[in-house]
Amino acid sequence: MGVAIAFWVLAAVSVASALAVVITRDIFRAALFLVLCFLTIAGIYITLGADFLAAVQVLIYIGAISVLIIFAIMLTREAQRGSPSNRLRLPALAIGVLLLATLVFAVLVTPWNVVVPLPEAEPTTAGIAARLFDLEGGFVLPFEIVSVLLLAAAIGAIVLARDR
Amino acid sequence: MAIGLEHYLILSAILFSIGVYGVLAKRNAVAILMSIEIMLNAVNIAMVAFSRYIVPALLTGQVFAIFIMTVAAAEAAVGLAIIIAIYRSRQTVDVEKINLMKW
Amino acid sequence: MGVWDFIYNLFPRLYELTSAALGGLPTWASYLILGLIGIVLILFFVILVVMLFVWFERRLVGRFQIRLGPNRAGPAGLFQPIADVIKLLLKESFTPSKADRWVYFLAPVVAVVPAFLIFAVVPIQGGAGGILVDLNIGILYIVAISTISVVGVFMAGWGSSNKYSLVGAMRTVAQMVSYEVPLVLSIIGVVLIAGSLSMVTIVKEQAVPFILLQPLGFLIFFLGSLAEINRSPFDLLEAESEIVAGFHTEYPGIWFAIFFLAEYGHALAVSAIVTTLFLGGWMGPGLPPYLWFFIKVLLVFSVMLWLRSTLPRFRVDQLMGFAWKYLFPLALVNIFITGFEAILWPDFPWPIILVNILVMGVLIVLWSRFFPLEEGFRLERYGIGIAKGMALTFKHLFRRPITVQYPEQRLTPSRRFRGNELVLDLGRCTGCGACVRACPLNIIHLETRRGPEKGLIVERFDVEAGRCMYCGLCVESCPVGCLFMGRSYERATYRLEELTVGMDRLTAPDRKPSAYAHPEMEKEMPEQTLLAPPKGVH
Repeated sequence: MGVAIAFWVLAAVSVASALAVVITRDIFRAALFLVLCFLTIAGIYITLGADFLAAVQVLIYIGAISVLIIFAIMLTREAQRGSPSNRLRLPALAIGVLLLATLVFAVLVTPWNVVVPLPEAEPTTAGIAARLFDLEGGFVLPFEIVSVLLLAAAIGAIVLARDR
Repeated sequence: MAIGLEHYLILSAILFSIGVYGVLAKRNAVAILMSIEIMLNAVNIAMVAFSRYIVPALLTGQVFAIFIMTVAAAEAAVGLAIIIAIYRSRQTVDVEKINLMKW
Repeated sequence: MGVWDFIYNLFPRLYELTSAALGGLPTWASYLILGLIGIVLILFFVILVVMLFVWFERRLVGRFQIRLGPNRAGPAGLFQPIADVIKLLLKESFTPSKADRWVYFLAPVVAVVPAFLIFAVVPIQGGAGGILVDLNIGILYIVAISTISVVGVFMAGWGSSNKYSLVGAMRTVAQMVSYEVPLVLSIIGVVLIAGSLSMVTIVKEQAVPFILLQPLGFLIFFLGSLAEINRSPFDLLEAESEIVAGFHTEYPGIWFAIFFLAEYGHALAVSAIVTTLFLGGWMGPGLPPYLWFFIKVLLVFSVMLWLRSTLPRFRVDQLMGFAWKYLFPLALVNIFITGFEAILWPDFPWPIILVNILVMGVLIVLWSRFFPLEEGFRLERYGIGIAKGMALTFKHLFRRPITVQYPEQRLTPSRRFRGNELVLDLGRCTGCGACVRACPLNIIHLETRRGPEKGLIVERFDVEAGRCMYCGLCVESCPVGCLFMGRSYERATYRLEELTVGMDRLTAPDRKPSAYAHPEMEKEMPEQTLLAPPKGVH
């Protein structure tokens, strides 16, 4: 029951803050609402029993990506413009609503093989590690590739943003 | 009432659509990037919800979600570096003004 | 026996008593009430201990600097933090006119809340009551929460609508984000040895404290967290003697008090985390566990104060270079080495301690030799210099403080002190006027008349002591040695007329002469206080 209350509150706040991100004209406030959205999504992970993922979400998204976004806002400030909407507002709204309707319809129509009864949430850290480095059916190669990707992205970002 | 898989998936769908609206309708490039991050988070929620409700013992969805987060971080870094580089030369981040190659 | 057992296991016993008292309620209600009681206790004790730390810091830094700390407000200055808070509360509370109101007001909140959230997983004692909630992602939760305060710094800088605050905020964020990387990497070494992220498990696995098994990790973690919380020697961006106060320039009174609370709360949290991860938490013989925890936290905080009072500040480019070129590679190498040891000797026998300390020494010396931060940064010069400095400040702890409780106690000046009051021996004065002619400012006024025998009688001898510059030429020029410098250094008077000193006051018996230009008097003078007088003499 507590999980249900937590889910509804967190879902409402996350949807509201996401809406605020795409509607606000002041771009710094949009970044702050994005931080709030990330926090509530971390809470949603906790209601799903993904404790490790919630901590990693806060660490990476709020601790690193939000800081990056705010730095970029500070460095690319056009004080007058802020963050207005362009002339594709109404078509974009239509597409968004259409996409939402399609997805909701697909979700509600499909018979999901949900496990009943739902098992208790367990600590996931050891489980994720076991799954990642499993010898058969594991994800060791993608893990290494993602490390190389991060290295390439870091070097590329440094080169692109360097002062000439 | 019990929270089922459909609740999480509909939440994910709503966040994804909000992200799509943001990508299509905002002029500031950083705002577009923020909307892309919202979309990636929505997909993460869907992944973790699937893993929890359909095959809870395997935790595959959570592993995928970690990979998606990592790729999102890399992409945000490179994207913001590109935006900063564009700002240096064109003095604007308004995507309607970055139209040198438009016919 | 029962009383000692209760005191020893205070927190688990209280927990059992409370849960027994709440036994009738449904589980969610008793869990909620226990949680709320725990939260209130944490808030209460954190604020109390933060105030204690403020007092402790000022007293201990004073002793490191051979002086008394504040000791007037309350017994031994214990009410000084309360006086500070009252002063801050009474300041005028203004808001910058173009500040973004929501962002400006929420910034201190976002900066201070993570400092309190960390205490939810800090174990004071083993057992059910010693920690608010034993998360199995304990240390990862702490790392994640401490990254939220970075956003608070940004909000403070932006919301102030002051470009210097903004630049200061960006630099502070750059510093905090740069030092997070070696911090998190050094935690991985500890987690590798303990085998779990949970704080209680990490403490219980410390049969040998991890400071011995991970000396390099401890150093990196300690220095990294000093930089995270913006304390000396990494506090260039918000220190008191810098020109702008960084991101909290525009915050008056109570808002600054909240940032202050956030900084000391973070310092307390970091001390608690270092105690848990590296020093063995609550474990120790004899005393109750929570007392051991508190003693260790105080010890870690004292080392922070020791560093603060010894080292000068880093320049901002040296700061960033230190993080990225020095701490970060060393943290990576530390993970490699700990990983190797975890594979080869999984149960970590104690000889590994020596191996690790040796490896750390070799690494630090070689790294600083091959990758110096700037040209000329030799570890031998700077490392030994730092060690000598810290030994000196440590010795200062045992010296008598130079400052005294003025005006109840006064220091005795040097024997040949050129004090401000002249002393005249009227019996020997011949009225020759040599002192009048010697004075470069012409402030001595002498009037004589012919006496009955051959000689002059002095009628008026005035010195305008307000304009005297204590050159001592009058004392040196006197042929009969009747004029002396005084020993006092208190020269303020209430009325202007009192600054012109007449003959009656120059010859008053309570005026004591000093031995300036009169070497024959030196032996009778009391010895100067600052030359380490024997015990019993103040």
